[in-house]
Amino acid sequence: MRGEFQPDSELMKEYGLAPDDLLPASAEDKEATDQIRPSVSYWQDARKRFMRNKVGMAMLIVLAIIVLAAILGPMLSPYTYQSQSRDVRLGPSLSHPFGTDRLGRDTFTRVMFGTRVSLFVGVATSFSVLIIGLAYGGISAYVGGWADNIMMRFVDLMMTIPTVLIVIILSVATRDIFTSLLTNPRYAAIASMGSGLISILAVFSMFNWIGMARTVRGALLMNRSQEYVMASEAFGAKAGWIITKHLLPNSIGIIIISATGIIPGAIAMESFLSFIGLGVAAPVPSLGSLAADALNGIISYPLNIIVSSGLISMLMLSFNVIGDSLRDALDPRLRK
Amino acid sequence: MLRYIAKHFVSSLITLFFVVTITFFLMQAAPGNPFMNERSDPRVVARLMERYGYDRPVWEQYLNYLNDLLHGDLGESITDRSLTGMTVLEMLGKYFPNSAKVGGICALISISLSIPLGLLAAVKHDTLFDRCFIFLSSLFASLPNFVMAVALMLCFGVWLKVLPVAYLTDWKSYILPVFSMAFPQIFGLARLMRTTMLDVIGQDYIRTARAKGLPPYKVMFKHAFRNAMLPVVTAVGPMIATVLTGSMVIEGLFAIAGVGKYYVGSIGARDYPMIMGTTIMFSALLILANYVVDVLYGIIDPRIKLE
Repeated sequence: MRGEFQPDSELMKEYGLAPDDLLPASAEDKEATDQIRPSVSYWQDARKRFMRNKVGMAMLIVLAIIVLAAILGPMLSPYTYQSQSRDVRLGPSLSHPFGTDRLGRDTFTRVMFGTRVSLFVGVATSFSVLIIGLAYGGISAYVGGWADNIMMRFVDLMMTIPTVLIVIILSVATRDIFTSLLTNPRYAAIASMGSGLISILAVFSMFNWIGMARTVRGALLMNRSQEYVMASEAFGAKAGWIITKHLLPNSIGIIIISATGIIPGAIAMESFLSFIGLGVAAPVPSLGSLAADALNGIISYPLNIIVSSGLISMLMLSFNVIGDSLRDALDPRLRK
Repeated sequence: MLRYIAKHFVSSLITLFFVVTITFFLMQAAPGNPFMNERSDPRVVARLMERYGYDRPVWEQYLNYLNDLLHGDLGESITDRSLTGMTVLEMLGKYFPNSAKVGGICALISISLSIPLGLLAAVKHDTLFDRCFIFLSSLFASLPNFVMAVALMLCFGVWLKVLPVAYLTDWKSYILPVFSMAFPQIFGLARLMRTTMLDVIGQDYIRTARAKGLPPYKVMFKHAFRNAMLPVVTAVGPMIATVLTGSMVIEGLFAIAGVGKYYVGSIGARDYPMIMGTTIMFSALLILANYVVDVLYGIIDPRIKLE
């Protein structure tokens, strides 16, 4: 019969094998070998690894609670972040869970609004950096040649600039420009967060994309030189196919890791600027300016500073730890 | 090697020039002027602007400033002139030593504590010590400078009343400002040390060294530690930058008359000559730190020189 296995009887005799020993594998046998390890996709594996990390999961829950409170808190609270009253520096109570500040404003509402500001700055910066970095790094990696050379020279130049100094002065300088841009009623929701916030966001994006562009370019180039991409090209795959099917999926892990890494950095920078009084402008509260404000009564009324600085630390800690465990989960070099 | 050093020096100078230029124009573009005040008469402001030459075109001011700068003249601080009568250069000379003392001690403590700590964590990899270390380092990396400072202030200054919380007087007054900046640095650097050390320990040549029967301490220090130091050296440049940013917060909090505190103040007051002066000093410091790290790296890592 064609295709059926015909053992060499001479050889079998030489090795002392009976004909029964060399039967073709049955369908069952084949299935058993196939299913020793069920196929696990990259994302399933990453999720499993992430969920196995207890500290990471705990921090994810903490972060979820903070995010929920930041979104719902100011909405459900009967006070606004700037409504003052005569109940100055109250302790915690049912109507004021974190007490009130020196102008009788509800600390809970203010702190939760400040958390909103922090979250917005962190996530929005990371998002815009992601877009700029993907575009810049992608073009640089794909076009290559002299364009890549010039683009990377520019990145090198940007890297040497002491960011902190420029960020401080730039966020002060651009504030009015963004205020005038935001007078358009269409952007009322963003404007309610304060124009200082938008200039901070723009300035952070302006300086943070550099690292992202490098990461993207590096990851794309590394994958581009792999044999499987060459094989795909040899089969006649077009640029679009190679980018969307090979390069991006294989670089996405490292890109997500760097994008999450941006969030705590941006939050820290915003709170630093607000703390020294050059960030989000009053009356909009930010965790940094709340902490600076609470310094006034630090000895007689430490609750305010404990709440605001505790919250910003929790926020940063959860983002840092989640970033770390995401790295462990997504970095293909660590996969076993 | 000389070419490498010279090339980096020139590019550092170019960067410094860039920063000066960007800051100058941004500062002028920032809303307000050094004489803004709700009560001030617009005519008086106009006269003052004329007196200081701020009514001329920005380009002319820029060229004038560069000319003065090349002659070593940083101008006079506008807000402090009437009070102290000092030039920007004199003010920097007066305040910088305070900042340098706190920042320098902080950097020294960070480097000298972090390296042994990181090594210890790497050697005791996957033990309870290592896990506690990882947790503490993520915790300290997450505490903003001001939170750390306020926490230390409350604990040691307000509740325990053992350490002073303001001014630089005796050695005790350095402890809180230095450590509120140093804690995150110590753990950050130590974590980097641990990671690179673990990386190096996994390399083949370490196995070879072990296989030929070298005692473990020799493998650790002669083979692993030297190579693990490379990335740590690079981290010292950014560390100086962080200490600098820290100084803006810490000097304000602990009432230290340092450059960081006055930098923040001068931006708020739009004190143009002071902003420029402090920016030039800070960026020169940062760029110098990066330059030294680059050169050191070239010396330590022979592979760089070959490029």
